[in-house]
Amino acid sequence: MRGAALVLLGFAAFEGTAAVLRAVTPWPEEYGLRPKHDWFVAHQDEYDVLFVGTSRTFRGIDPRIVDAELARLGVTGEQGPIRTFNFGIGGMLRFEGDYVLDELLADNPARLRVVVVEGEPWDPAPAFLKNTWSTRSVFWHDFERTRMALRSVALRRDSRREQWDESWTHLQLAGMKLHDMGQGSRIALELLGENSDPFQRSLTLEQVAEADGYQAYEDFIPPGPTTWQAMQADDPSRAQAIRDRVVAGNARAPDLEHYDVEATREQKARVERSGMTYVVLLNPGDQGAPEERALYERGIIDHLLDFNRPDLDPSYWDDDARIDDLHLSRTGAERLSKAVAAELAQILRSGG
Amino acid sequence: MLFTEGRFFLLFAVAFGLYWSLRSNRLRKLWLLACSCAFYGAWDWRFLGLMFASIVIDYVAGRVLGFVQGQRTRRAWLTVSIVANLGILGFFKYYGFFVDSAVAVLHAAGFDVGVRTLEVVLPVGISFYTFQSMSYTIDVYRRELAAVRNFADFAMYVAFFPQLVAGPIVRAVDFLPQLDRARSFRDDVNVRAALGLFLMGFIKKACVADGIAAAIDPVYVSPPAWDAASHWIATALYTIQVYCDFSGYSDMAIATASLLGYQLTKNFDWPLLATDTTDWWRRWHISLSTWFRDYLYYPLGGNRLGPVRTYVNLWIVFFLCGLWHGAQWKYVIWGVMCGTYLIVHRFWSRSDLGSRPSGPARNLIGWVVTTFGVMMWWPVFRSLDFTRTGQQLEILYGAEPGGPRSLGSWWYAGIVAMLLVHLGTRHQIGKAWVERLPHWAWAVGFGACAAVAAAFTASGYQPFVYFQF
Repeated sequence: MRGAALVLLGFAAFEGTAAVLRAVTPWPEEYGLRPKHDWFVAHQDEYDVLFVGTSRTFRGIDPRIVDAELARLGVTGEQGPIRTFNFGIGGMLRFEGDYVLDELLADNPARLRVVVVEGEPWDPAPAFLKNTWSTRSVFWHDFERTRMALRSVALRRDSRREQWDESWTHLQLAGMKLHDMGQGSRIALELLGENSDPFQRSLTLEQVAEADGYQAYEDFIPPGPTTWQAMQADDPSRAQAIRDRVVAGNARAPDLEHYDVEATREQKARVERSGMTYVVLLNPGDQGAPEERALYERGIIDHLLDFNRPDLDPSYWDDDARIDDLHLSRTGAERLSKAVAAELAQILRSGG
Repeated sequence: MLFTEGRFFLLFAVAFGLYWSLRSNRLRKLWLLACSCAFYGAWDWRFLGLMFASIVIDYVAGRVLGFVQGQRTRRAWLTVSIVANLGILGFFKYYGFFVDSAVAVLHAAGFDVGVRTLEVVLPVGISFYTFQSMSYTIDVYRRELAAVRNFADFAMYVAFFPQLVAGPIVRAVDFLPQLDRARSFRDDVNVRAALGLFLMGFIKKACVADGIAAAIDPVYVSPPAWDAASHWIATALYTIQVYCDFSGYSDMAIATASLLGYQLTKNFDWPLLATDTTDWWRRWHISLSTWFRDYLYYPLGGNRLGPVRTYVNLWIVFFLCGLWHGAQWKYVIWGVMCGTYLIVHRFWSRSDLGSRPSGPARNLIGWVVTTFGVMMWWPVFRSLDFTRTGQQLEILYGAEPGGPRSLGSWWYAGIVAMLLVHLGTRHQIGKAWVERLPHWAWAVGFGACAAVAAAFTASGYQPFVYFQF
């Protein structure tokens, strides 16, 4: 009995100390995740529209252009011109974005009316997740996201063995998050005033403030052999092949049986509970997205901004619009931002 | 499965809980044997067959040696055991090395030989359990130990999971008697000491060694990119990394066994404080050093056949010790360097100057010389290839200027701090105070320290350096 009490006491001290450390652990720095978080939290009552997504959103939506276009269209908020913030982050998984969104909405930002989420699949098993134990993989594994990820794993077509491996990975990452494993050096570097971004790809707070979270891809990585133009020069039929692939992908029958529909429902419900409109954005990419469209058609999501339609508008796959297969150039981002603003205007006018 | 992994903690919690709830010693041992198989099989279940082949061979050899009286027959059975063990080890660990080396020699001599080598997977811990198993047969042959009757007991001696994959190399004479009676949690387990040792080992491995690895690996990957100061820092840090990695594993192994009521051999004795090379080898990887001493150095004649023969014996032992570490020429060179250092020290200690009584100043000089010497053999041990080792040595000794990258001079302070901690633990500073703490305070302190240690683990999978051996 005494032994059991001592074990419990030791365990309580372990968990208590871990909780204290967790509270002082900074957000990851990569791709501006932490500066964007810090900036948005400090200025959360200044924004009307929030975009959350991957680097496709990060490099594709310029809030200054969206805001200008909305103003030109005569759409304003109760407190003046609409202001938009881009919380796109390179490599952000849908689960990670969901965690980020929860954190950003925690204090119920006063002006925020519309949340635009990039419509990527709820993929719980990307290759990079397993055995990487990176800070980016760990930090979003709270109880809620781990539960969602485990459910998504169970829905996958993978074998039982693969599902077990994937589930174990998420449980380990959740354990690491819970106990702040591997974060000590970041806490120490924070105390020393050092940047803890291992890739040194972070934005500064000033850069975040200057463009409301947007950064053109051209300002991030100089043109190289993997850029759209270089590869197009090697193979002139490439652009058309990608457009054809996207069209064929969109025409594929949606596989909602293995898609975490429930996760989308939960995310939408949480956004709407905060009094905001939930919108899904499909960026012009290199794959089709029939599942997101099926969710829209079945009324599970109310607003879909679908720009992944080369059959309707192939211009996003033109040489001047792209920087690579996934990302738009500054010109492409300008075009997309204007088009997104036009659709947002309708949503905002209709009370969104 | 590593001692620092979550799944090990789960396995151990189950193993520990059921083990102590069983009353029968026989069932307890069988349970631990099953856990050991699960632990080893977690790497690759096929390796289990190989390990059990080794166990069966030495069990049978031991049984026969136990009742056969004729010297020739006994010698024949010992030979069978040694040839079988070294045959398995040789095939799985050295086949490719010897074939490649032979082809290279023939090629250099002008013979163009085309030989297909097999891609043989090296079973984890094979060098450790093979040596452990062999020591049993040799001890039985020497009549220093009675042969084990119970196969499960012998299997558990070889396969006992805390020491299975990276030692300490436990002697049968130390371990087998512990299997005779059921261990008592009250009498045989010092929970505070065991948990404290485990945490210490965890910190050494997961925080210090893995943290250092993350910092210095880039230096070894591209030596020309780094300046000379960084190479000196990396060399010193690698010495600390290897020590913390391996002794951390040993600490966790000893602590894990201790929580199950079994005592394993001490493997390290603050080697970074050694004041001469002989002293270093008395403190470093003690279970391997004493294995080579008892089963190779002494049979070769040790130091009883005069100085020259002693030097030759030492050189042979360290040549083979290097080869034991890995099937690569770098390990052979490393072993030869270690042996040569030891011979030089022996030579020196027999001189007038070297045989003077020790004192603080002499110890300090001895420590500096020894530490520098030890540091100089690790770049060979750590090297990825001889080209890069050559580049590193050129930069270290000023023949080349090195590149623009720098590790940061604050590492000097880090190295000094780590050595001071090493010295402090050697002198058990604070130990008496900790021991006086009431159990509740100790439990709180342990939990808090464990949480801080967990936070300071280096992220990413870092296998133990000695697992490859």
